[in-house]
Amino acid sequence: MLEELQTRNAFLQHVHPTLKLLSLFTVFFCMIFVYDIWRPLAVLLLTVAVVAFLGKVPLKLLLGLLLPFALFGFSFVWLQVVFPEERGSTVLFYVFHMPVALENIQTGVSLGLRAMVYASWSLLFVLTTSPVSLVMSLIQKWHMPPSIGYGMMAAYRFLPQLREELAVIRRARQIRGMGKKPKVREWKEMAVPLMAGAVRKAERTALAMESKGFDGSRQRTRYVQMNYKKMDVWFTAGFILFITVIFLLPMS
Amino acid sequence: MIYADNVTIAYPFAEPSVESFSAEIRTGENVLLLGPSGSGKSTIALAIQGILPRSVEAEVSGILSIFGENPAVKSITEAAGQAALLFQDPDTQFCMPTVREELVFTLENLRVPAEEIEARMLEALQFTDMLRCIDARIDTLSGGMKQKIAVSCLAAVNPQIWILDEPLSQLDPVSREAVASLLGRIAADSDKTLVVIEHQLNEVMEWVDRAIVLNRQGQVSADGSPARIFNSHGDVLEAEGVWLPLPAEAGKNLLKKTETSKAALPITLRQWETFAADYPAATVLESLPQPKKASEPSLQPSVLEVKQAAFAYGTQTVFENVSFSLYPGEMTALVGANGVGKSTLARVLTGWEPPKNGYIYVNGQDIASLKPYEIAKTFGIVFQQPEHQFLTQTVEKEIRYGMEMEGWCEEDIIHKTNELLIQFQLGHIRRNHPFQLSQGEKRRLSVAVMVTNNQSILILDEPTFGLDKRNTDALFEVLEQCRRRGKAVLWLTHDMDLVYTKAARVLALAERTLAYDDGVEAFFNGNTDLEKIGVRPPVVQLMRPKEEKAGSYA
Repeated sequence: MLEELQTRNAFLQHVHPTLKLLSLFTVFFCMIFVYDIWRPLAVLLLTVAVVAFLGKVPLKLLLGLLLPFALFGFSFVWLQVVFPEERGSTVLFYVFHMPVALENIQTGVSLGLRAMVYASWSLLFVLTTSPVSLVMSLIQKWHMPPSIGYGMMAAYRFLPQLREELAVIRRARQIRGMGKKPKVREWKEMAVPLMAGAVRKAERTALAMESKGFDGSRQRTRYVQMNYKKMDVWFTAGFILFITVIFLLPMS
Repeated sequence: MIYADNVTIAYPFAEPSVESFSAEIRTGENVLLLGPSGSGKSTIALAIQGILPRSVEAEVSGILSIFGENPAVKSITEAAGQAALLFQDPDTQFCMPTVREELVFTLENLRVPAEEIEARMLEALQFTDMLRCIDARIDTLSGGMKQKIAVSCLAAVNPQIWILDEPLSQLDPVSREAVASLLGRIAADSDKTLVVIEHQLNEVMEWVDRAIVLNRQGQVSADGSPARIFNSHGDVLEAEGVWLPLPAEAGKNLLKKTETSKAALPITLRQWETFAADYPAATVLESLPQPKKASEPSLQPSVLEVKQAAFAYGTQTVFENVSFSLYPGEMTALVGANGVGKSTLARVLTGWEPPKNGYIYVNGQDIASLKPYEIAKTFGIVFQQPEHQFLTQTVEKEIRYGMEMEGWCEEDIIHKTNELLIQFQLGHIRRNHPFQLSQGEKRRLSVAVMVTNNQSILILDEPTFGLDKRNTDALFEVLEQCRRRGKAVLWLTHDMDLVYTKAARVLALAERTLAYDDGVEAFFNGNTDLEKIGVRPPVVQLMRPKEEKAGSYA
């Protein structure tokens, strides 16, 4: 499912992963200085539209993934209203004798939307970038050592295996423990067989990689060149325009 | 080209695992390394490649040279180009998600120019007949296919020396045959040298031309043609727990029985036929392992009754319409091809996953209505990885655990614990940590902890995985004892020779349902479509004299 999205033939999927990563950091940074409601809202709507249209991600799925963040965002509103640092003067109405001020609602909504923007940009990155192309780009363009890059790939392959193994360990222990559900304290004990298994797997994989000639050095040929292409120019241009309009112009 | 003189290898803080190993292997030879577990076979394999001591810490002394050079001082890339390793676990040999990416990774490592990569990749996949899977995700392939992809990677590298460390041990019979014949094609190349370690020898004997036998200390105790070595060292090997190829084992029995002697034992089926032709068919038949007789229909009520059970992951049906019962004192094997759903069925039987349709009754009660502890009281379940089930710090505590949970009095616990320690041959290591035990000991302990309370059903998932002959025999001895005491024993397996000699009844899953449920003799007598079930007839069966075989078909 995720892999299928990440390798879809759409604009965002073809954009160089390093650029997407850079844009992600830029947006995160710029958002720090924003306290109004309208700009985060505009960024959020724009991001959702871009992911849906230029990344061909089904809108329903995207909104579904954003829903938990929306609840999280709403908690900011609630916090600002109930425990404000400073209660605003424009009281709109009362809830159980508690004054609800416009200023506090505004701050809360702004913070909540900021969380949603972070979430939506992260989704833009995660849903349209395959791990392999990310790692290849980082190795080729950002000089990440291949030993770390390929190590991360190997670890990424282990994740589903570990999850499956944990389920088996839980069940095995439940059988031994006469059907008792494992308690929190026992999760710690379950980590022992899980880690023992993981270490052994990692050792085996390391041996297999070495026997295939992997020495972790940068001296290797490149079957796929992760070069910047025309698409990347368009993406960069669009992104600069977006940052200028939303964040830079209002400041001047 | 592989030259070892007085090589001794020791891991840090341990006794040497290989002691004064000497051998000379010439180009084009296909050599089998034989020896009990712990005799340092894998250690030698790693040392020939050079990974040990390059990346695996160990002290190596003596002279070891590959193409006239110490492999340890070669660069990783150079060593990989000359000698490649194939490991047993199909899951841990890859670091990339898809087949194409893995092959590219391998060729990039060796600095193959980018424009040559495509061609070499396609050639390697053509050789293994895996071209159609080039863009497949490795996770989605079966164990046998993964192993073929691992072979493809090595074929793309095209080294002169292939070191195979139990390449078949985790595969089902059909995949074993496919991978073995693939390796046989490499063995046939006179430029390629193969060094192979394998427990179950039936497939590899077709192309192995030399055997080197190691003893427990890792010293060479015999070196020469396999047929002669099995003849001269057969008894020693068996005493050390090494499997002989079945033709050799039966040949040895036959010689003993007829009090005759021959220079060499048969190691392949073809050799067996000529070998056995010199003896009367009835005598030959007697010297073969016999299948178990189907057990008498039990008069006792069933302990487990499965009625029209079905299971699906989402919309994908795993099995449906599965009905059978297990009775006390039955020894039953559950067989079927890889991925057919044997483990899933075991999960459903034991209440881990609810069936989508149908019912499962345990001692007359619907399993859906039972609480987890009531299920645990009825079933002993031994998982594939014994370590998953260990909860305590010592072997003894591990065995006591179940009884303590049930609130036995101390006197009974001590009595029963001692009895089990003796029965499972774990007495000498009662104070050791369960994780420190050998593979065979771990397996025995995992069964021992499951029979502490008086469960009526014992289910084991691939209990002989990775065990040598001695440990397998020891395990089945205790399972047989459990059976005699009235437990219903059910085990999942790929090993048809084991089924043939140890099980009385066979359940076979195929084409999403229970395809066979009857005695073991009828399963293998030629009237069952084994092809459809995805298993091969046991070698023992193929070894029966022709007339008798014809007779049983009639």
